Amino acid sequence: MFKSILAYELKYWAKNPAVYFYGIILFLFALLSVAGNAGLFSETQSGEKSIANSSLALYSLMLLATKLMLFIIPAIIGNSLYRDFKTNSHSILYSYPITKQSYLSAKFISSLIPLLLIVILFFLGCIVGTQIPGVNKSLLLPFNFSTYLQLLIIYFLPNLLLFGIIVFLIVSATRNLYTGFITIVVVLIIREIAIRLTASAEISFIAMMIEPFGETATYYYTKDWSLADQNNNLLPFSKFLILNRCFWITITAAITYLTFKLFSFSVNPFNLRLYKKAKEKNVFLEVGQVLKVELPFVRFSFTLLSNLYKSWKLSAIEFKSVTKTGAFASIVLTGAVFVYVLLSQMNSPYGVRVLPVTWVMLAFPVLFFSLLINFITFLYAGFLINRSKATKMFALVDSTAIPNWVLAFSKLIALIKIQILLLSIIMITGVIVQLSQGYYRFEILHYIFDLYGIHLIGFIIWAFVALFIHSLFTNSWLGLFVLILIYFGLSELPLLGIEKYIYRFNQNPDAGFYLGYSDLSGHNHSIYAYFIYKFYWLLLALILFAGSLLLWQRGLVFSFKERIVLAYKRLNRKTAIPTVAILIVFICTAYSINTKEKGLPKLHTETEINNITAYADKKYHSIEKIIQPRIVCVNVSMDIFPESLTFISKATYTLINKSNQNIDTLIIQSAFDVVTQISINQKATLITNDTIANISVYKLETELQPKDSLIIVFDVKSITNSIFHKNSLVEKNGTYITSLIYPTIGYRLNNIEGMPTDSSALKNHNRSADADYINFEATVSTTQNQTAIAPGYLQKKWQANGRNYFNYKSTTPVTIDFAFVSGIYELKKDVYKNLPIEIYYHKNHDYNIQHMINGIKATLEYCEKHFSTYQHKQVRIIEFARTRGDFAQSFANTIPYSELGFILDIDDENETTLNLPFIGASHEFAHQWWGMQAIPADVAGAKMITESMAEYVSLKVFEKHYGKIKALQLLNKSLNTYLNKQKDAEETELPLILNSGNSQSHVAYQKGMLVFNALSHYIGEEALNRALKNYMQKVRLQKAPYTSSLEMVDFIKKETPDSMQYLIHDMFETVTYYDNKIVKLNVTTVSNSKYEVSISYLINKYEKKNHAKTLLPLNDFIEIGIYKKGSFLPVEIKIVWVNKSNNQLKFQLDYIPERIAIDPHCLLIDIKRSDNNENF
Amino acid sequence: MAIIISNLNKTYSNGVKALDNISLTFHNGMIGLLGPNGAGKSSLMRTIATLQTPDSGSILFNEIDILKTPMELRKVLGYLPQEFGVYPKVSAEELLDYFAILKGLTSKSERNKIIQYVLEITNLYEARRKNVESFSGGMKQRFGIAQLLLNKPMLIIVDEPTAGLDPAERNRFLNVLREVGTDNTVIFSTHIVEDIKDLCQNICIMNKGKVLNYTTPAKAIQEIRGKIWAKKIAREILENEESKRQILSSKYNTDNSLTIKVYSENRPDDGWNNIEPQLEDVYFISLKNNENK
Repeated sequence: MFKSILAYELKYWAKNPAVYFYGIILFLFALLSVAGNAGLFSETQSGEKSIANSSLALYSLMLLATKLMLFIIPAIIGNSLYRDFKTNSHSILYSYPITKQSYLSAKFISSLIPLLLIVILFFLGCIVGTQIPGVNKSLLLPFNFSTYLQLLIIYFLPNLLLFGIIVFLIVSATRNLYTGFITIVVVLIIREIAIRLTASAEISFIAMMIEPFGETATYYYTKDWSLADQNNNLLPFSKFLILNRCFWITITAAITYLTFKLFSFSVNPFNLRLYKKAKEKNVFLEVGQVLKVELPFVRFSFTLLSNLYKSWKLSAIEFKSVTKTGAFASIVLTGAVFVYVLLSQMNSPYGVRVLPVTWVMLAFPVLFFSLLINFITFLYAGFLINRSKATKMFALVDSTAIPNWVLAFSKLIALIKIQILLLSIIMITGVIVQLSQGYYRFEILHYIFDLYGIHLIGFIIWAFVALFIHSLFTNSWLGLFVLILIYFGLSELPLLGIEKYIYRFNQNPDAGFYLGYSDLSGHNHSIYAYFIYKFYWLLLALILFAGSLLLWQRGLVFSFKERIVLAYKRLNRKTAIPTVAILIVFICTAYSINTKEKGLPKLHTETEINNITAYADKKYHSIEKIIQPRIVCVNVSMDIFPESLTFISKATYTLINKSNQNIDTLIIQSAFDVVTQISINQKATLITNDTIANISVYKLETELQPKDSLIIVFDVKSITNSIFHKNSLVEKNGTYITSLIYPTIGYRLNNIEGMPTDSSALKNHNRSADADYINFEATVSTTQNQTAIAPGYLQKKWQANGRNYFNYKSTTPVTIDFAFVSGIYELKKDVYKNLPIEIYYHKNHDYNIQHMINGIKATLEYCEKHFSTYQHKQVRIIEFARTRGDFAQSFANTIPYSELGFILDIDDENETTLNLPFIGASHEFAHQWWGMQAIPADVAGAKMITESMAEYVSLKVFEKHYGKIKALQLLNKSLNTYLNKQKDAEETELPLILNSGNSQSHVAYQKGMLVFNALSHYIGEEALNRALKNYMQKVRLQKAPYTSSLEMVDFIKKETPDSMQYLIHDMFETVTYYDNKIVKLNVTTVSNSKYEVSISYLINKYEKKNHAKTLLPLNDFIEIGIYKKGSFLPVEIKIVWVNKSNNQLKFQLDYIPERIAIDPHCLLIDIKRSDNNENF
Repeated sequence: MAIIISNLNKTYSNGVKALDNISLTFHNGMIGLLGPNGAGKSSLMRTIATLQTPDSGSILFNEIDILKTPMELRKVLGYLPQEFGVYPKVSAEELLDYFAILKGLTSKSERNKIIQYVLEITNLYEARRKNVESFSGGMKQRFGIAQLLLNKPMLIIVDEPTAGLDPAERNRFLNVLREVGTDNTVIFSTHIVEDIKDLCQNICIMNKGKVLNYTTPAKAIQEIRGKIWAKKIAREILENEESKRQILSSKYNTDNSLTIKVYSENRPDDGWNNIEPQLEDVYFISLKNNENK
């Protein structure tokens, strides 16, 4: 019997075109991916090359293919059983003398064969892809059979079998194929939840076991592979992967056993329920008498309005048919759990959680839910459309006087209701997460607008597509697969060179726009473009709806040809005219979007600016040396218009020829992305006007004598905004504009930094190349309900023309960088040591302002005590919209601080939370000393004086306020950040005294903090601060030539004993790191309460230079810490002097140590700290 | 009210000619469609019920071409197919509400009123909260009638409604059908001649896509009165008799003998008795005539 069922089934599949369709798709997918990675579509890029058919590359491709195939599994394995239920042949089949073993195994095996065929076609595609003419052979390895065998045996087959048997079990239990599909989704979500719950810095054993594809276990072995390893290694088949595979094969076997055991040849499905439903009573009916049939009076209505009403009413029944199932309930449940886990584990980029504000609750689940909602839409569109056919009720439905469009529309409404329901999960789970974290500022309207006002439209458009595709394909599994292909294929359109959004169906022009919400300024400006494009695609969706109606299956239609004839017949005046009308509107919209987008001003992209500066550096190299007058006085008026998102500014610069030569040439470089007009108060001829690099060179009619002055007025305004693009930096609320919008005087090379050894490079400080210190005055105006702030002290405040005006003035000379902030603010005031502290914050963002104030106070205390007095009479922090960035910046007595810092979830009781608002405020305030009192020259290493010092101060202040344990956490975090970034950095790392460039910021910041802290530990905080104080005294507010890192290090060297001078060399002057390790720890009991500890450990010190590392000789002091049980800090420190790699240490204690650690205070740059500890 | 069918043809893709140039006119009253399996009854009924399209021909309903404007017919059509399923897990009441909406009843109270009424007359009121999919065969057929009545149909098409019903169910079902068919046109197919005899004013015998005979039962019987002959024979000589003449039908008696019937103008032989013709004789004569052609 087994053989005959098998033969019958195989014959069925052999004749099924869907199998070949799936196979061809997988074949093409593999072929195009491999050939594409091997450079078929693109020029070979320089640099390191990834091999297209390495084991790892094929492995990642296979993982994608596996996930695609998961949605073929129900259509094949599930269908093999389902067909018998559907055709009712099970009731006949089951009466035959078949054993269930032979029935089930024949069904299962026969459906595995088409799946295998598809897998083989996939691998064939990979192989053929390497042979296509036009691929770059240097990106390919020769064919290696074992690679393919490994992928097939270790991953592909076991994974397909696992999911195959799960689907087989579910379909045989529920006799419902949709449940099979849903099960796949539910299992995938559970997998995601499990991955998230087990995620940690170190990959745990459980995390590796619980992942059913073997991905985590494989990642564990391959994560540290170098590119060469990635290109050449076979995938590892090691302990954890083997265990994972064994575990999941056992699960597969167990499910198989369960399936065979539970399955029974009864006409009714076997029960997976834990309880038995009470049996329904049969109503027994007597044979009644003959009645006179007189139907009550009823009215029938076939008007448009009543048809709409019918659609609505019918949709309720359709909606119920989907949502009342267990399968749907499990999707809702697992979806909710997933969102809950996702939201409660959310981390900000800085490792500290953001408060559960509404936009956070919305932004992250939406990404995941887009996939889920679209999949559910694709699946249930097929279900709803084919439902009357599948249940054989179509004859009753189709013979009623209900127009096709009413039926189609009712299914569409039902789909939209399902989407609304699923979106509600985000809102409900979001509110639950907010409640559970004690956050009670519920913004229900914000939820509703985002979910149903914004996101829903995109899903609705997909519902139209799903309706159309399922009307076209009578096989709903094929329809589903095609929809999934379209969905994922669309995101790949740019690969084919299709980049314009008018050709990219239902894609968002600003893909991450919903991540750009700010509590201050609301939704990102690109929301307008979003709605325009959604309207545009909705038009196409309506045309597809017309298509669905033409193809709508009603009654019995026997062939595709007949459907075409029918569709043609349906294309009458009533349907064609509105369709064509919409089509015309659609095309017109496309045309007008296209012309609008083309003609409108647009901001420069980062690449464009990089290209321009590279070009300018080449072209204007020669004018760099031309001596220019220096700016001495700046008077600006800045009018900010938050309603129209524009600004108009007028800046009057007074310049003086500080040199001893006459100046006849004036070079002005205007900023990008603003409109600048220049007027000079002397006669000058424009001799160069480069509108690409924005460089104007003027010839002064009368030369500017030494000490003579000149006035230039700049009229700067934002470029026009369009509905598609916001082109100014102005926000509705929380605007933050810096002085970068104003022109600079002279030409400064962008890509070359001067060296501190070059004394001629010390003439400019690093805040600006065209001024030393200036007198600054600003008049800022803004809309009536906003406050505008600029550096300096408020002199005057008035209202005119319904606007607020503020006049600010610096009483002491300041550097030329300044900023304007405007918003609706609450104000928190405080005073410390006669210094007024002000925090301007958004209405509800009062969570962290006290931490910021504490940070300011502690920093003031520390810096005044150790370095010098604060140079201003006031300090203020002003919140700006996070749309402008997630950072803070320090200007004279003014610190604009991103919204994000105000909504971090800070809990000082929590041992693992670092108080970032405290640290951030401290860092920025420390810049008032380090950067604004000690102002470095514009040379390499400048950031050591600014950033490293600000980091050092904030660490010290943090330690004083929060204790050693937390400070140690901050140090560890800095070390990890530094190590991660230096691993990924493209450029060679330079020593701290020469650090430069933005890509090396981890040297100035994180390494700087570690180094200064280590030094303060080794030579003493007092000594180090004494050195810094002396240095500060020397350089404070000095005139050119400015100071450099070399000068600062000289001061430090003076305070450093000879035995420790090596530290300066290692930490400042070279790139030196350690790789230390405890090899062995032994504790023996000597006598009562006397224990002898013996440890052997390795100390290795390396210097890295130009990618090469050399082992250095040792002459170092190393700390060894001893921990008692339950102590976070070492109770005892042994300082050992080492001069060789292998070391032993023996000592006696009167207690049993719990743990021994090398360098417990995180003083050394150790590339692997995890092996520095040994527990007893 | 009239349905005029002219030159209706339909050939399926497997080559079966389901409708072979059928022309018929139906007026008020009950019309019984009689024919063996595969005669084309269901194809004809589905075509009239606008569920499939013919290759050629026309159907006029009150002078409206329903192939062009099927909606006009659907408004007054009640159709019960031979075999139908229902949405699972939906109660009779809910499903009737669904059909009532489909059929254009937009007032909730009116829907409730008529649903209650059709549930009562089909004796399903007690079972209204039960899922229709769990109904027995007879209950399901009565549910079919209940849904069919919701739009007060003028044309009712029921395809083999009595198949699989027990006698009591069948009786009850036919009573309901009879009631609703009084003032309307009912096209009713069966292969049980008894159903038609009791109910139908007209009878239409079909086979292989053709109309063999379209008449009234009384007229049909009148035409063959005196031409039906019966004889009781032993089982063994049946083949012998068959070789001599065309046997219309043969039936076992309790004593294992057979009663065979022939259709003939004159007494064929001794031993044949003239008997009162039955409707089934009309049916068999039509089929045999067609086979002989």
